[in-house]
Order: sequence, then structure tokens, then C-alpha cells
Amino acid sequence: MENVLSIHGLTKRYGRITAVENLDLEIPRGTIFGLLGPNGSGKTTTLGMLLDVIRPTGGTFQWFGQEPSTESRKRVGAILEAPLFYPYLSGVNNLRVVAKIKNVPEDQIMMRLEMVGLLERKDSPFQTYSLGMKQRLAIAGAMLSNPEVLILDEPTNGLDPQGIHDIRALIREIGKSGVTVILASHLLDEVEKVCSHVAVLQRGKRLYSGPVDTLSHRKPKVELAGGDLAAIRSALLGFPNVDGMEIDEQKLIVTFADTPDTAALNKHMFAQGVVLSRLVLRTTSLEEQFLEITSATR
Amino acid sequence: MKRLLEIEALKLRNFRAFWILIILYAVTMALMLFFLQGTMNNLIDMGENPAGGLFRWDINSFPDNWHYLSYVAGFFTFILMIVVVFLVSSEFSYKTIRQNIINGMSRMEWLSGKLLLIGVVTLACTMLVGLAVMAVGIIDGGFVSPNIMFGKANFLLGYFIQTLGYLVISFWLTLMVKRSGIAIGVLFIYTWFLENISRAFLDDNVTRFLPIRSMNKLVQNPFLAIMDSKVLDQPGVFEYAVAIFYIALFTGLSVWYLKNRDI
Repeated sequence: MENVLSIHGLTKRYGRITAVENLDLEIPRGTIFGLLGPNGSGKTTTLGMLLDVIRPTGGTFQWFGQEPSTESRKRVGAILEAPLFYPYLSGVNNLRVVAKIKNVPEDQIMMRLEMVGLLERKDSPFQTYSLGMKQRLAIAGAMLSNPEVLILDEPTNGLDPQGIHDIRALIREIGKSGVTVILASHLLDEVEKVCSHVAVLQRGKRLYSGPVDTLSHRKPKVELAGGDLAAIRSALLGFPNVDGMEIDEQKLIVTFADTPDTAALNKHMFAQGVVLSRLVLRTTSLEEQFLEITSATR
Repeated sequence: MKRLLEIEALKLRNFRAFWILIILYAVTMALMLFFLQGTMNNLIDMGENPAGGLFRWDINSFPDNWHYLSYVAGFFTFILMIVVVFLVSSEFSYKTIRQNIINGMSRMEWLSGKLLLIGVVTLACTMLVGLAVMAVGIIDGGFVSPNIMFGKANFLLGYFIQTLGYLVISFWLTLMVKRSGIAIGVLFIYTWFLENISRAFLDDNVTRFLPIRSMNKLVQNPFLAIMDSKVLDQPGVFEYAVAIFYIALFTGLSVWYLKNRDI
């Protein structure tokens, strides 16, 4: 697959602090690519460098196989950290500034305002907008030039549930239209729900990069409890697919190679003379995986 | 160039601080220039000549009115300096400079747009001063021969370069400190006090090349010149060259700073 973006050894140092360290990344066209990491892991710094607002200390990157330029940036729509607009200008006048910068005809403005559902408030000053509206105006601005790539940095930060839902639906819709989306987020749940690919960053280093499915593919776990844990443990020996066991407080956590049939497990234990007071199939989340990946390097 | 100015014009719509200051500037300066003769007459009457009439400071007649009015107009440049501070600091406080660049403006385009706007504002103000000079001169003595009428019109060029210089320095300083309060404070302490204080302990051969004094040399105080019974001072090519050098220097420093900085 063709890459819209290739990053080689990208590094940013602020004095003795290294914000991004020797980052290599390829972003394939047509993906919704998540950039996942806790706060301060270098996501925004990385995006800032890709957008020419932060000067890299070292390394290179290519947009669409070419050296970065104002022309390549016009093919990318981006929102960094927060929606940035002139607060005293109306929504539509703010987009006029964007259109002029991107050399886009003004008739695009109404189309994009309609896309994000802001037509009714287009003449109100930006400072009167709610956070959700500001975020939607920012997406309209980023989409003005019909970009091939859309970069969003924590787009749902601070929004209410309805706002979060709307923005995510909008991102998926944009992704479906063939636009490559790069989404920086510290919310695993968000990346899992929206993205097809993910790179995990911590302290400026890349810990993982690949499809989200591979990352979230986890061995299922079952929590068992009831009387003597040693008895449960020995009774389990005859059950298929058991991969490992560990004791967590008063529970036995059993890892399976494949999702077990819990009814069959219950029946098996009962036949062995063990009565369970607890039998829970734990749906493992990306969150645990993420904590595991990031804690391994601590 | 047209595109960059159009972008700046779009940004200025509804930018209240800008328009209030510009209108304040234009109205107070125009009033001051039109009634400068009367104001001076009053000042003199209140002092040595209570009855008046003994001595009239002839301000409005060609060609010296070019000098008098250009000099007095310079007092109002501080309003334009504040305008420039707001134009630049607002882009940083709203972080819109960041979004401008993300949207596909180069850093140089951003800088050129702002400098073009400063050029246009300076040109408009110079034209306003020029119109005032022509108006008071014609009202005072009617039409006279062109070589008297425009005999000292070069002071208007001096005013233009001086104003541009002040504004480019304000632009650079605001770029460096980014906050309007600090920028305004530093500008006024420097232009009104520091350069003057420095003359107490630095040699005149040094201080006469300080940036603000170099700008002021283009339109020297005509009132002082008369008291010293000297001929009204005309700036020479050298004075123009020094002022233009400073404009180029502070433009260059701004370019260098913006090119190498995180925004």
C-alpha cells in the first residue's frame, strides 16, 4: 500500500528533555491511523513537526513521497491541540481566511459548514460557540481544501458525550470517503473504536505500530473463585486450552489460548467436586494491553 | 502580494482594537494638524506676549509647514505602534499564527503579509499628513508657485520612513516577547527614556546612531531649530541611509527569528 507519510528518525529535544526520539513511522493511504500515548508522550510535538510549526532537532519526513512544502501542507488538513480561530470573527469569516490561505474557492465554505452542521450559526462570532461547535468548525476548516489527509489531535477532549459521539461519527464518515485520518489520542477506547491502525508512543519513543486488531488480540482470561483455590487449580488440570494461572487476591485468574466455553467449564468443575462462587469471562481491553506495553519500558 | 493583503484584510474585519485605535489616531492627528497654528498662538500668548501680535509662529504657510506638521504628526506614531503590537500579539495569544501555518502559509508569507499591512498603514497615514499639509497651506496663503509649495515636501518622505522604522521595530519586538503588555512597556521605556538616559554616559558619536534617534533625525524638531536660530535642519542622504539600514536590520532579524523558531 502507498504511504501518505514516511517518517525517518524524527527527533525533537528541548534542552536536556527529549520529546520525540528517533521516530520511524509509515502511514498507509486510506487508513484511520491512531497515534496513541499518555499525555506528554510526544504526540503533539510529532504532529507539530509534521506541520512545520515545530522545528525538528533531527530526522526527516516525506508527505506523499515528497519533501515537505507549503504545497504538501495544503493537501493536509489539520487541527493541533485545540480549534484555533480569530475569536471576534464569525464562523464563515474565519473559514474565508482559511480558504484564502489554501487557495480554495469560497463556495466550498458553505458545503463544509453544512457537513459539520454549523450553517445556522455561521454568522455568530467564534467566541460565542460551544466547545463542540468550535471543534466542528475546526474540522470544517481542515476539510476545506478537500485534503487527502486529515490530522486531528485529541478531537474529543473536553466534549460532552453527545459531542464526542458526533465528532467520532464525523471522523468515521470522513475516513470512509477515502481520506487518510491521523488521530492523536490518549484514549484507548477512542482509538479502538475509530482507528484501523495504531502506533503507541511513550516518552517520545514508538513502542508498537500496526493494525489495531493485532494489538487488541489478547488471550482471554477467566476469573474463578469459590472455597479452596488450590482445589480449583488442580481441578482445572484436565480442562483443555488452559494457558496459565495466577492468583489475584481471592481469585484465580486463568488464561486461555482460545475463548473457553464457560458453561462447559462450570460443568467440568462441578464434576470434579468444585463449586464455583464466581466465574467471569474477562473481556480484555486495549487499555490493559496498553498499560502492559507502556509499563514494560518503565 | 494581493493574496497576502487580502488575508490580512479578512483578519481585520471586526477586529475592534485595531479600528478603534486607527480612528482615534486619524481623528486626533487631523484635528491637531488643522489647529496647530491656533494652538501655538495660544501657547505663545500665555507666555511672553500676553497681548499677542508681537511674534507669530508661522506654521501653516508653505513650504515650512511640511516640516512643522510632519514633526507634530510624529507624536501620534505611538498609537500606530500600539496597533502593530496588537496585530502581532493577538496572533500569538489566539495561536492563529500556528493555524495559519498549519493551513499552508509559509512563515515568510505570514511575515510578508504583516509587513505589507504595516506598509499600507504607514502609507495611508503619510497621505493623511500630506493632505493636512496641503489643506492648511492653501487655506493660509492660497496657491503659490510649485517650487515654494512643495519646497520642503521631502519631510513627508522623512515622515514615511520614520514611521515605517518605528513600526518595524515594534513588529520585531512584539515577535520576540509575544505579549502586548510587555511589548508596549518595553517600547515606551526604550523610546522615551532609555535612549535619552544613554546620552548621559555614552558618547554622542554612539548615541546618534541608536535606532530611535536615527529615525527622529529624519524630521528634526523645527521649534528647537528656530530657538537656536539655526536654519531648519534638512536630513541628508546619510540620515536616510541609516534609517533604512535599521528598517532592513529589524526586518532581517524578524525573518531570522521566525524561520528558526517553534511557533
